[in-house]
Amino acid sequence: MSAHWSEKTWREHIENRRQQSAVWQFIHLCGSMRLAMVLLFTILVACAIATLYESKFTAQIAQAYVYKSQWFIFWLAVLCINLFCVTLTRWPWRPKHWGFVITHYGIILLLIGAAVGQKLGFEANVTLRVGGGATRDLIINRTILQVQSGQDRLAYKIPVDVHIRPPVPERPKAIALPASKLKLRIENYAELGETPELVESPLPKSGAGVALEFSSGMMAQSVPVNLTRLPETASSNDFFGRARIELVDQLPDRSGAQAPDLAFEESQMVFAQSEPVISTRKGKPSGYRLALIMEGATPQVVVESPLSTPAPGHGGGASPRREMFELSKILGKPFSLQGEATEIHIREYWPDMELRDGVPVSKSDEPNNPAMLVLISGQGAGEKPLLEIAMAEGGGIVYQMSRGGAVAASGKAAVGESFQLGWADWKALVKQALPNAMIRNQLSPVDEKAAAASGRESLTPGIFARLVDRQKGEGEAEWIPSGRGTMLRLGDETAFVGFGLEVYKLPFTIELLKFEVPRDPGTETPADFQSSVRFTDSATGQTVDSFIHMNNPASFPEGFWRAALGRNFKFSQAQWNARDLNETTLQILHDPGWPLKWIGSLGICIGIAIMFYGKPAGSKNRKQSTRKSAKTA
Amino acid sequence: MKTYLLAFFLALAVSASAAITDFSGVENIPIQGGGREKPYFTYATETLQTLTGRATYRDGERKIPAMEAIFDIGFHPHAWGERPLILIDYKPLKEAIGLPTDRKLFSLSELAANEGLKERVAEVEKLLGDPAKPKLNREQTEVSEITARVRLAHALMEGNAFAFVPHPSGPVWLPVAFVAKAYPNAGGEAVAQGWTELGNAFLKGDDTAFRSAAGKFASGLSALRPDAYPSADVMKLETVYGKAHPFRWAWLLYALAAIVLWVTTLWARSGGYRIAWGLISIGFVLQIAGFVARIIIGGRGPVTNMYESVIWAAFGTILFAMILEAIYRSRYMFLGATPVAVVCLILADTQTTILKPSIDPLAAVLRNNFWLSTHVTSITLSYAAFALALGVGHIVLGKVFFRRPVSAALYNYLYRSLQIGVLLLAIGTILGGVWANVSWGRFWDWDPKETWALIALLGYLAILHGRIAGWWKGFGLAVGSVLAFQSVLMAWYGVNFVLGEGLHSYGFGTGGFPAVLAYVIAEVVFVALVIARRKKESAAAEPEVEEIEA
Repeated sequence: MSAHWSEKTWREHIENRRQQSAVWQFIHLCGSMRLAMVLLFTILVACAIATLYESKFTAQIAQAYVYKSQWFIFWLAVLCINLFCVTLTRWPWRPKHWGFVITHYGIILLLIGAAVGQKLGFEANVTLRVGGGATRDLIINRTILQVQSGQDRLAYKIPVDVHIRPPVPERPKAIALPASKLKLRIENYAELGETPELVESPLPKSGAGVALEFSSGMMAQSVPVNLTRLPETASSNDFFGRARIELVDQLPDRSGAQAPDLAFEESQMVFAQSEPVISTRKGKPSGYRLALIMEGATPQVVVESPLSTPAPGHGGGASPRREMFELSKILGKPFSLQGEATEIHIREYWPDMELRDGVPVSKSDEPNNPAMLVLISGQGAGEKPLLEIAMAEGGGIVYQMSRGGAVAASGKAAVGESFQLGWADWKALVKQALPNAMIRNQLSPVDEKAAAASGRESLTPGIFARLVDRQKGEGEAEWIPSGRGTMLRLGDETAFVGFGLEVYKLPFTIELLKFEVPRDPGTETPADFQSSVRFTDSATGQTVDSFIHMNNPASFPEGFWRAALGRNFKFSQAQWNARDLNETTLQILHDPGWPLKWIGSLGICIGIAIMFYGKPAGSKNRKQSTRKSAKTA
Repeated sequence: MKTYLLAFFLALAVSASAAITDFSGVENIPIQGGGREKPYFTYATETLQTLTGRATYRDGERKIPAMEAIFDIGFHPHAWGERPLILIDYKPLKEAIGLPTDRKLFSLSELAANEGLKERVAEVEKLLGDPAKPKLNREQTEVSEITARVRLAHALMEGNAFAFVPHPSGPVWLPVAFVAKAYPNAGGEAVAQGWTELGNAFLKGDDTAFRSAAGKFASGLSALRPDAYPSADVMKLETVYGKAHPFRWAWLLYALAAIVLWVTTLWARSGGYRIAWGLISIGFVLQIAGFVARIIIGGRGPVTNMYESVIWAAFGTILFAMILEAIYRSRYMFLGATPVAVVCLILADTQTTILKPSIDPLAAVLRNNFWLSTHVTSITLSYAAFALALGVGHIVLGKVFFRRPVSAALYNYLYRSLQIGVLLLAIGTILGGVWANVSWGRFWDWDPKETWALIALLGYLAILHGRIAGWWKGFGLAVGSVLAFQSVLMAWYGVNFVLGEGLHSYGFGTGGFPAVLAYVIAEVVFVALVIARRKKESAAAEPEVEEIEA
């Protein structure tokens, strides 16, 4: 009927309706332009701020505080209501409204599709390796707790955020455990590394154990060494190939053995301004080269070892090992390069050397002709220094240092005392000496930067948590590393708590058969990433081989309607590992909201086009009038 | 390579005095560089541009063309250790490492002796090797680019960069020095000999000998592996394209058209209008020709990087202006479009270190011609339409500023441009979502580029809706089209060059930020001035924009 109405009657009808009915008044209010503009502007500003957030912090933070926050989603819901109400206010629609209605409903459908996808679908990653077998476990980028507690002994999944607002001791997170009165208090979150620690063994006859700390001021290093009598393999330490340290029951009697001859010995007179003068006193030339370099007024010594180290990275070539020291720190102190047994001893240094009566002297303190005298000596193989340690009666340890069977030094040290070793300036501190000990790998937080600098890898994130209860107080706190679970106790109550990324089990398996990365000719730039995968549905026995590459995802289960309705799993290329070309990471999308997004999107585009370029009746006049006015412009 | 070089130097104890003037014999020879085969002309130009930031080398008074300079570095390497060759343009870096800030080019030996630079290079290398892929800051990005330049210069000096020889079996081309090893036959021999002769003739400056050696070298190369050798026609096309500068001619013509339109505002209007149409049409055809050449050379859609998007936006602005002019015959569309197009094209023509004109292989994720052509072209066309609205908006604001009457028709043109932009931006953004769903496995994930496209769209929608609600009329549209364009600028330039976050990383770059910021501030100040100067009466008398009701 409304089609026959004139524009005027239609307007009057709507105006009357609004004035007479409270319901229509409310609809007009919800669909008002004022509300629409407020919504538009807040969304616009929030998005702009979020992108700045993202650039300053991380994408997760931007998502948590804006895009996926409750208020933003609420705002979008209000926007949907606004869009819907505004189409109602124009009812009954006239032909000119089609574009407007289609566009607005398109946006609503798109947003509903997004909500459906968010609720019922998921995004996940799976990292596959060639030959790594078939898997159905997908990692979802969401940290969860897996908890078994209370009477029902069922396992519960509880999402827990550790990235956006990580728990810290000052701001712990308390989580009520299901089917139990207990609470879990998460007090910290950190990257964990494993450090061996000497502890009292709960079992008898575990054997003695010592914890030592070796340090060298010159090398600015300290190295912990833990030894136990049992097992046998834990009772000795090959100190970087430089010396041997053994924990024994009793120190053997080595008196009477002679000190071995030095295998080689040479002296070098090293000049800053000319070639060195090398004289071999015994054995073969050492092969060591030293250089004296003046850095301003500070003399530096570069030692080049004949034992080359393999060059880092690929190629397999070897480069000579060079190390630089400040002269003042090594002058007069015999030392060796790490991992080498040859002793280097800089005996003397003359800033301005000249020979007087055949004896070198320094003319002045000005570095006019710097020179140094170096003695280099070393043993043959099998004659590394040996440090033997045994438990002393009444606590502490006794030690005996020998070289080639001949004792160089021996003594006693209590816990907390340290003793000199006689190799360079290394000394050892006795930290613990236990008659019945074992070594336990202790998880503890590690400073990520320090770990990266020391080349230590394989850190695991973990949470520090304990059980708490109003009446019973607090339980013992423990570190729970990602991917593992721990039994936490509080009095007689226990809870098994696991922590890690959520795992989703696919209803079928996926296996990587082949992965290839073709390159742009003549460069290392990847041209594509190609994964050949096999899907196997154990229920139906169906096996499908698919090929996934950039811009070409694979879907499983197959079928047109499944794809059209989003009732499948889509696997797209996501990441690769430049160091391991047998590994690829795929992104998996399951999105039942997809058809709504599709239709909505199409509606938006078509609707706008109709609105702008559709030709309702009377458009001809309009065009003419525009032409006319154009001429007068 | 070294032995060949040595041979040259022994034969030519005297250094080259005359220079080769005719490079036509070598300009079309295919060479592999930057992941594809291209004519030597392009290779030389791009290489010199990478090294020095310019397409010719200035040696005192003489301007050495790229093809000569690159051969000279290869055939005459030790002359280049001391010559200024490596571009360092980032002032804070120069200050930090103690290089004079008034120079842009530095010699290899100068850089090799710079401890500050060495330290920074080592640091950046370490970062680049880090599997965690930390983000480089501006200085580190510059340092990594300088490292690449230095490496390129060394590769040229050692001869390794002259990859003229197709691999006997694989896709990686080989330096000429390896030809005899790769092709131990008469064919390989001929190429090696041709190269030696070419070098000799080059160093002697003997044009005739150079031409005949080039012929021998070129025909020898093409006979090595005909099945894997690129077509001579495409090589020729690329050289012609590289020399013709169609986009430069286009802006010259558009600028001329704009001047003609301005000058003839008061007299000979219709004649001037016709001339402008003619000039713009020729410029437009040249732009099309340029795009066609790039599409054939690169074998992909027209818009794949920042340079192409800027040129494409200029193209779109003119395209929409022509369409609307064909309908309305108003002059204003041309007056609005030409300045915008000219600015875009001049930027693309001159700012080659920021907007790189080289045709490089695409990042793997972009290698899908269907989605690339539909999504990116519609987005950039929407930018073009908004740029047109910006141009027309400026005319309106200019008129208001000088207190001239503004006709309803002019507002209508503005509205038309905004409509085109909104439609295309909506389509392009949604197409982007569909492509992302295919390529990345999700439709929408608030990637900064996605988000800013949405912000721009919402901004323009707000402007249009405010007019429907009657809160503002044409003047509001003009103000809005200038202000909202700043959000387009953010989506277009800002996300890639300022935020540098997100998945659209293949378009990332550096440079130009102060200029863009100054532009944005200038626009805001201009709009504020116009609003302040606007008379109350004129606001009341403002004509209604043609009603397109929703």
